[in-house]
Amino acid sequence: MSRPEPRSVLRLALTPRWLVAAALMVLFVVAAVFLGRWQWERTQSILVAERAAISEAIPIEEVLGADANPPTAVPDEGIGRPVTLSGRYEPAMQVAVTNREHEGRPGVWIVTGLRLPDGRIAAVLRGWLETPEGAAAVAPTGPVAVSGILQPDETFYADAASTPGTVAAIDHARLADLWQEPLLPGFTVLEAQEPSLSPAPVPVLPTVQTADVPFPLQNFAYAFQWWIFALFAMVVYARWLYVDAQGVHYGEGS
Amino acid sequence: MKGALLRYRVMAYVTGVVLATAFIWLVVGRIFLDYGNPDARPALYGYLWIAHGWLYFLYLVTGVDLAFRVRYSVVRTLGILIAGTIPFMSFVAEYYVHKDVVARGLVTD
Repeated sequence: MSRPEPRSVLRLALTPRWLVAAALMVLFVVAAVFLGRWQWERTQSILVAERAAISEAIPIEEVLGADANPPTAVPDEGIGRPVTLSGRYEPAMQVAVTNREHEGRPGVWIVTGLRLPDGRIAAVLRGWLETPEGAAAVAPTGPVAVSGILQPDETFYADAASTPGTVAAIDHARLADLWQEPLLPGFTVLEAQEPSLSPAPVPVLPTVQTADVPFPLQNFAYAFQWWIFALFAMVVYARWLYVDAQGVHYGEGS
Repeated sequence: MKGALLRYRVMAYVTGVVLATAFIWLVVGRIFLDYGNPDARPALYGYLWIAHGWLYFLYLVTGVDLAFRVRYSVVRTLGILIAGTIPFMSFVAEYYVHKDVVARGLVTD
């Protein structure tokens, strides 16, 4: 088999048989590119839909269960989850979390227990204040609706000594000891409250972000596979044409 | 030729087994396990389909390579290649290709 001349390859490519082959190849390549794009867009739209689903606020009971025996820790899928709570603050259940600064100013975080309609207590981080005294620290007494971000317990400073009415970190077991009543795990960082309170602690940002949604790996892989198939079709066409130009006869005996 | 046939046969079997497993799982899942809901599908199930995608590409490469060597027609080659996407058909394709290559005296066995 000799090396065919480029011109003879071109002449062969323009014969009716090979023009049909070229048309089929182009058709397949165009279809594969579009199918790859379709899988790519599906990957994106699945991600968008999944992210929208977890950014919608749901009642805290849906995340932590309505059970009388709540989980001992916030489940992974609940971390960073927007939640809503309704009930009344327990004025006796309030602590100041020490050494928390806000925009460079030293101060404390105010954490108050909120009694849910089912009687259980959830810790709410109402915000930051320069000092735990003053009108702003006093929790409203009437029914409230709170929306915020669910956070896991702060497990650091477990052995830190603290003065009465203060803690070094927010841990539901620690608060349960302090308040002499079991608590739901984790705490909610207050974002908004109905009715709103003035003066009130300055809302702070949640520190632990949500884990990302599961990635649609299958659609992602299929997108690339279609594009590789498109490339492959072009290679096969070229190779077949080249071999044909060498004078090798195909289809013998079939 | 011997190597090309062996490569094709291996890929036909591997691709066929993975596709058949995923396909049976799909049928069982659809009928008994609520696989219409994507959350009900285990991760392994998805990985199996992804694996079939890449294995099928290797099946294409080995299949085209063999088709060039045996000098199959375009139609016959396409038939062999498409068989890798239809559950259980790659086993059938492998059986005929093997028989045919032996009948042509291209390999001895």
